[in-house]
Amino acid sequence: MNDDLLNDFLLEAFPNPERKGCPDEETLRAFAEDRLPPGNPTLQHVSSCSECYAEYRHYRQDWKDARLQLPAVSIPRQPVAAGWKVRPWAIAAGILFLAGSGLFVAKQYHDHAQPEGAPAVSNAGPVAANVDLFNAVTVRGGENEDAPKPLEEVSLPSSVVNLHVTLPRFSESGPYRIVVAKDRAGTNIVAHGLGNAVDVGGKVSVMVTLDLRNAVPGMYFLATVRGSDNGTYYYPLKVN
Amino acid sequence: MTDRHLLHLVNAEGAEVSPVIREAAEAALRWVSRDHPNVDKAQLADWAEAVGRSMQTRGSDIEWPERYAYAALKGKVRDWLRTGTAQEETSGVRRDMERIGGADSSFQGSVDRRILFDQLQKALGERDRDILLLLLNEKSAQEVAGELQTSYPAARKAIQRVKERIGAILDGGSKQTDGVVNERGSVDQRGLTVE
Repeated sequence: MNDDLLNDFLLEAFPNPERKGCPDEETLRAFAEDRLPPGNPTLQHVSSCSECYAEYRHYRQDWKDARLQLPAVSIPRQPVAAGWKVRPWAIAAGILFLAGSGLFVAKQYHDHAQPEGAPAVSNAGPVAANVDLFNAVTVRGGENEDAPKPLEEVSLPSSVVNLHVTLPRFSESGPYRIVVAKDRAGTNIVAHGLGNAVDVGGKVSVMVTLDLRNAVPGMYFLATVRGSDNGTYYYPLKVN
Repeated sequence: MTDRHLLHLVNAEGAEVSPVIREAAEAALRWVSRDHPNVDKAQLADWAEAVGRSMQTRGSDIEWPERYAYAALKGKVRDWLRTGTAQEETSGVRRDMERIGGADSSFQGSVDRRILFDQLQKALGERDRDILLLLLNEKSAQEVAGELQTSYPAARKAIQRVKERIGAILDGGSKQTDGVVNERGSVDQRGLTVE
């Protein structure tokens, strides 16, 4: 297909300057990063809204660029010796053997290597984690070093984390940005995610996805940044 | 990928803007640079800093910072392209760069393009556009089937139909616009491969 022309078609033919019915930034980013379940209504909207399509393309390109920057693991191909004939039954037997070995190793690892309760670090998919800050003592802003230290310390695995954050008591619902940074000034951001906090049964919580695969294990700050006024609160965070 | 160190993002008092606004301005700069690769990057950075300052002033009014910053910066570039071109002489670097970058100011070209897009809009239903979006973003037939929650053979058939519809319009369009081919809106038969 003539990709440039057809991309321009989607970018120009469906103007929606008032952004009627547009999904929020985080939903659009999740869609671009293939994190939404199949069949979600975002696809129908994006294919009918030029503004959302433009943002979707950029989120997707950012995501692709970020993936390219990750170290790739490649297995060197072994040359097949001349005169060898590869037989289908041999390939099938090999696959069965490898699959069986893989299952055995995985079971051994699961049974013995991983202590109970430890976070599951995996490259295969996101890890779910909960952080409950409902009763946390917080420090606002980044300048006052004499402020009382917060009581809560949370730990997360260095993986892609689907993080459910229960925000502190009296928090307001609305858009929030969850940031993992090296310092409280927020200048060295390791990962961030955007979500819409909702009040359920008196507790306000937000769901974000953080990519912590590049975070070196150690101490960080987890910041909650309220979208309405950029009110920022920091909590010590340990990345395992 | 990041333009983090390119921007000097401070408010009117010289204090750093919030991290949220910094990220939004940096994302906007990255995106608009991608949209307009031939516009001077220093000029874009200057505008992005102005957008960041203005966002910091507005503060709580902004619900979606990245969206806001992108729209604002894009608007500045559009204004500049419109007014800047008008102020320029008919020769010179800027005009040449715009031509190379695809900013086609030909009236005939824009009319051809609009007619073509109207035809595509009429020919492609909502589901067809969903498929087109997925295909343009490198999704396989299997993934299209998953997104549309249909079977693989049905997805393949639907993809084939979309390609045929687009092919029919582009084919017809090229015959109608024979001899008035503009740079960006040209109907390139070599580019169309109906698999």
